Amino acid sequence: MKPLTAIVAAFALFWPVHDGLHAQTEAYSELFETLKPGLFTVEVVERVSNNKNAQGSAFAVTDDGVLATNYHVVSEFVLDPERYSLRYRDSGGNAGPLEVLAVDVLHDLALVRLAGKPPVEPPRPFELAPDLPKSGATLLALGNPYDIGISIVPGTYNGLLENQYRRNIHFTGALNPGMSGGPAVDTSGRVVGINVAGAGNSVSFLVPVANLRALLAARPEAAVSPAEIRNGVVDRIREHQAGMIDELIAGDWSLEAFGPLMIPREVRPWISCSGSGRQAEDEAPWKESHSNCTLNDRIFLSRSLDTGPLEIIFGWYQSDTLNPFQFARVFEQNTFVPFNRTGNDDVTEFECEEDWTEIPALAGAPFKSSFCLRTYLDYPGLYDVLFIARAQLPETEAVHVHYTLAGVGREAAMKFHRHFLGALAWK
Amino acid sequence: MEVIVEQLGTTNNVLERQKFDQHQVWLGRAFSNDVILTDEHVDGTHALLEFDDEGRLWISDRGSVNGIRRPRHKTHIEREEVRSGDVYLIGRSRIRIYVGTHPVVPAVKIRFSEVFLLWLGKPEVTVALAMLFVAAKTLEIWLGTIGEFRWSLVIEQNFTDVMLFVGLAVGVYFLSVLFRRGGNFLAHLSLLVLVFLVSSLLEFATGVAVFNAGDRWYPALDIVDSARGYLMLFVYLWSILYLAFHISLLRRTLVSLGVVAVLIGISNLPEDEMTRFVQQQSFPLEQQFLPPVLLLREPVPAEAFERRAANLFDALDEKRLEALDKRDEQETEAIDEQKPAPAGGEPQVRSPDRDGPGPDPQSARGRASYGASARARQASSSLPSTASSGLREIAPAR
Repeated sequence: MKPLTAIVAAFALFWPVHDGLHAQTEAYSELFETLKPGLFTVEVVERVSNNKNAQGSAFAVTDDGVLATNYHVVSEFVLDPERYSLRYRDSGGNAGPLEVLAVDVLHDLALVRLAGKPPVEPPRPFELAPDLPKSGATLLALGNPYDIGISIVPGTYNGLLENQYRRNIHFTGALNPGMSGGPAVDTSGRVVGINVAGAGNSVSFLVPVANLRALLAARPEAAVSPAEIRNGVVDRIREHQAGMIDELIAGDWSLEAFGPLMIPREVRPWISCSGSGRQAEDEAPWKESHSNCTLNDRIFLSRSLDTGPLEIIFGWYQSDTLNPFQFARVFEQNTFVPFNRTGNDDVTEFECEEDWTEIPALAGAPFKSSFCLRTYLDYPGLYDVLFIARAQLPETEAVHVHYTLAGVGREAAMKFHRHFLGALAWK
Repeated sequence: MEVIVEQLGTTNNVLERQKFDQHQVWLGRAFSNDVILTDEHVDGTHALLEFDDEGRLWISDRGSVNGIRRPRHKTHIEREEVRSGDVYLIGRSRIRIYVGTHPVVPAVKIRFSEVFLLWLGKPEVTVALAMLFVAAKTLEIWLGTIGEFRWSLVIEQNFTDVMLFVGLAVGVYFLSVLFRRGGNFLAHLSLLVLVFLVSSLLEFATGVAVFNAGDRWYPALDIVDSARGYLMLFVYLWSILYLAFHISLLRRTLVSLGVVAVLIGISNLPEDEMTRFVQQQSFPLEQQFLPPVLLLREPVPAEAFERRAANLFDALDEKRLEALDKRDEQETEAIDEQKPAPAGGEPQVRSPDRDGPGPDPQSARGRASYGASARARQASSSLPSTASSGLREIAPAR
């Protein structure tokens, strides 16, 4: 009897599971077949050489041929339409040119439309999910990784990212290059997000579908020239960053002790802070401590240029054994670099104002302050700001205060500057 | 009546000088002459110097093969009156003739600088300067070393510098001996050490100025800092030309100035593009810090600095326009360079239908304004990646 019981028990245990898996797989392949006609591959082609320069994915969102994709998939065309053209391929083997309707650089989204001869069967649009699923829900990401063919990648919805200002969906599933711009759907085939980035090891990110819905609602009827699209970008980023800085200023600026200073830390949940420090050692006989807070939320502008991140750093140095000359030499070895990514010809060089200044909130010690600025050649009115203030205190002690902003307008920059310096205090 | 006959070298430098108190002076190759010229082009009895009754001095040819002439003149002189200081060519020999009453210029007073330079050659001065140097160097090392202070480091560095100085001084000494100007080794050594000490002092003073300054002063202080090097070089050259080669004030000033000018010219060649790129990527502009007691000025009020910061935005807008122009130029150049070289043939040729409407110059302009992506791809590999953030774009596969 014993072996039989075991076999029955085993069946009782595994049968439903096995059945469930089987059914799930069935359901995925059915779903895949239904959705496939709405999926597209987007290619950016260099006109002169006819070489494919970039490839991504897209999906139909209306029944008259409007597709959604990432801005970074079509950016080369938008930035240099003289040099690049845009075309699509669908799963039925149709191909043709694409035109750009609208972009949302903040959320890395773009709407494109099939141009030229329409395909025989109009693409079936995807349905957009009305709200976000529960954490742990299964999502299926669709796209064309490495241009090897339309693929379906199952994964898990893990909520919105806490440490971003424009919060993306944390998706546990492997997104690969080429899947950018493809949809991630729930098990009933409704779009929850748009594939946008991967951090490796199945940690991936989706743009929430609400942003796509907003872009769709505001889309123009006729195609817009790339030049007009570009012109909208500066205002959009400037207003967005101004809003971000207003929110930041309205955040929680309660101060924490940091050496002789009182400093802000996680002003908003989307600001991530870390600290580091060390005690005096034989070879390096001074104490050192750093507080580093960032908003590492970047706006893609081109392959070589991004903007938007923010960084706030404090440093504290103290030594009981070094003489003032040695200590000054230790302290002066701090340098700071800009936080966002830029190519050689994307930005001007930095210009700086540098002088000994008072900081009223930190009275008593003169600060050598550097206020450095650069601007974007193709996006006039946006600036990167880099500020450093360094001061030595009696008893071979020193502090530095540093922030960088990227892609901000001048009012927002100066507003932040004033607020930031006003918020500090001595312990 | 006295007559002085100088035998000269090719640059009119005096090789030999003879003085005669007689009416007639014979010149020639034969041993019976008063002035014996060892020159195969000179006759046994070549020329005669002779005073007449009125006390005038005459030179006359005694039937020589090659005659008498003045330098840079072709005509042969049979007989003419000599003015004191005249130079003649006899055969290939150069002689200058003075009479005893010829006036000389007043003596050149030994200047303070020259006394000082000679004073530097005293052994006790050299020793004192050397000790001062070692002390200064030790202080510098002690103040500058952040890790554990070790005497071995002091000895090592001092030894290197002292060897360098001694080497240089020996070099100058031998050159000086070679030019028969009598060495003065200790003075050379003292001079080097002194120049180094003064330079270090000036460097420290500039450092204090930089530490105190704001950005407005940086360009001027940069100039001061490099001027220090050139000034020290000038002083050293100027002194060494006197000490080692006894060159006159005017000439040594000109030579030293010339050398310094050439060096300034070389060092101000256009900057390398790469250095510029590296420089603009890290801040502050001036890192240098010194102990707070050396901060000798009042800080700028917060509002004033904030105003300057706010004004910087306008400056940047202008800078942007300049940078755009520059980029346009580079793009146009790049396109021009590409045009005459269609490698491989067919894909390089633009076909009008694929290129869309618009003539070529227009497309060049379009590319100039928004063509960042192609260049950027090369640049992006050298720039810090976004990987540190944990976020990575899904680069559309190529």
